[in-house]
Formats: sequence, C-alpha cells, structure tokens
Amino acid sequence: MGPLFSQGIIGEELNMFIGFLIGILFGFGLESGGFANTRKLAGVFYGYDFVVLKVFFTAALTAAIGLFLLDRYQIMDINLTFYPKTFWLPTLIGGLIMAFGFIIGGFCPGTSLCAASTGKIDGMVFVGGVFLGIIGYAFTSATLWEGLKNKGALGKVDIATALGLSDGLFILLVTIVAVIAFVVVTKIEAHMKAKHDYQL
Amino acid sequence: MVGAIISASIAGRLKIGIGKSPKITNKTRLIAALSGGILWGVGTQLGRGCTSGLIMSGMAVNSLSGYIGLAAVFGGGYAIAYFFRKLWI
Repeated sequence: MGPLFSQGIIGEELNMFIGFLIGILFGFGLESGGFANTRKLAGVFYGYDFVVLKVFFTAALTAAIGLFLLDRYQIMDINLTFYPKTFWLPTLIGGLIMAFGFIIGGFCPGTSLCAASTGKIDGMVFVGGVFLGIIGYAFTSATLWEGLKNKGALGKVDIATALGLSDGLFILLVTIVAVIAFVVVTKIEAHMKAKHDYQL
Repeated sequence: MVGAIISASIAGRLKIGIGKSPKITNKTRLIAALSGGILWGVGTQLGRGCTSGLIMSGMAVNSLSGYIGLAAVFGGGYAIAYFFRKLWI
C-alpha cells in the first residue's frame, strides 16, 4: 500500500499538507524533548544531560522497528521510501565537519530552527550561519568539493546485509545496545550532576 | 517551527534569550553559534543531510550511510569535546 506519494496514491498537494502536519508534530516533539535548549544538546558530549541521546535513539529505533514491521506485513514497501545511497567518504568527512559544528555551535540544523523560532538569539544566529555555509558551499562546490562529493559511491547499502545479518536481528541488536546505553548514561549523568553544578 | 512554537508556548518557554554556559560571554556564544552554523551548512551539503535527514532517516531504513553519519557526527563530537569544553562547562 504505502508509501502513498511515490506510488501516486495521493497527489502532491495532499502530500505537502501531510508533510506540514507531520512537521508540526516533529517540531512539537523536538521542543518538548528539550532540543531547543543548547545546554541540553551539549550535555550529551559532556555527560551532564543525556535526554537528547535517549530521545534521539528512541525516535530512530521506533522508526526502524515500525518501518520493518510495516514492510514485513506488506503495508509499506521500504524500497520505495526515502532510502539514501551511501557515499561513504564524503559522508564521513561531512559528518566530521558537522561534529565540529555541533560542539562549537551547540545545535544541529533542525534543533536550531526550534531554538530560533522560540526566541533563542543563539539559535537565530546559528540558522544564519547554516545559510552562509550552504551559500559558501554552493559558490565553491565546483572548485573545492565536486570531486570529493561523489567519491566512495556504494549505491543503496543495507547495513544489516553488509554485516551478514537479517534486518530484524540487526534492529534487535541496536535496540539492546540502546537500552544498555540508556542505563549506563543515566548513571553517568547522576554522577556528573552530583560532582558539578551545571546550570541548564 | 510551528510545532516548536506551539510546544514552547504551552510550556511557557517562549521568550527571547541566549542559551549558553554561564561562564562565557554573549559575544563568545554568538560567534560560536555562527561558526557552528557555517560548519553545519558545509557539512550537510558534503555529507548529504543532517542529523534528521542523514542519520535518523538513514537509521530508520537500516541504511549504511545513516550509521556512517552517526559514527562521524557523534563519534567525532566525543573525540573533540574535550578541546572545546570551555564553551560549555
């Protein structure tokens, strides 16, 4: 049956409207999870607040389990959903650039929009920076980035298949790792909070 | 943005301010925020997506690219966090 849009079951207008509604839910979830607070986001890297890690993995795994089940019950064809191709080298290098952006800027793009729209000046400045970065990239893409961007092309790679596991087993293993991580980080957070006085 | 405004207004968090460590100045925070934003702008173009589009959406479909992004952004973040600790703690 699904996904609805890529099979022509719904038109572009309805697709955009549903996207808008889901976007509202996403923004609501991000803000209520504390993702508009840069101190909370940075806390993941310094051990004083792990809410972001918990919310992030819960969301990613809920989506993975949900899509896996919908695919198995033949309600949704996972191959017709947004399935990114892997270009391992530019993704690795781009990811490391984003890591610097995260530690220095204290947001990622989605969370900065939440912060900016709820009145955080640092969020607004960050959003401005993202635009500048994208424009800067666009102006230098032909000279600086084009060769690198298409290196390491592997096509659509399923990580479970690449590891020789079934999709279900892989998702189960990641879920187990996440649950163990939640318990461990909760202990780290309690320890760090007892030792230091961090203001959020 | 609409969802965040609704959530923040219900919870009473809708106010103008700067989120930062109490130990740094507003100017330092805003320069850091601008620099971080620029890095994200470049990184997302090169890496084909951000935390939501590359990592979370990638993990949702078991895509290798999502997990490479996860390792690079969070692994890289932990690796360099120590050097930027004065911004946060």
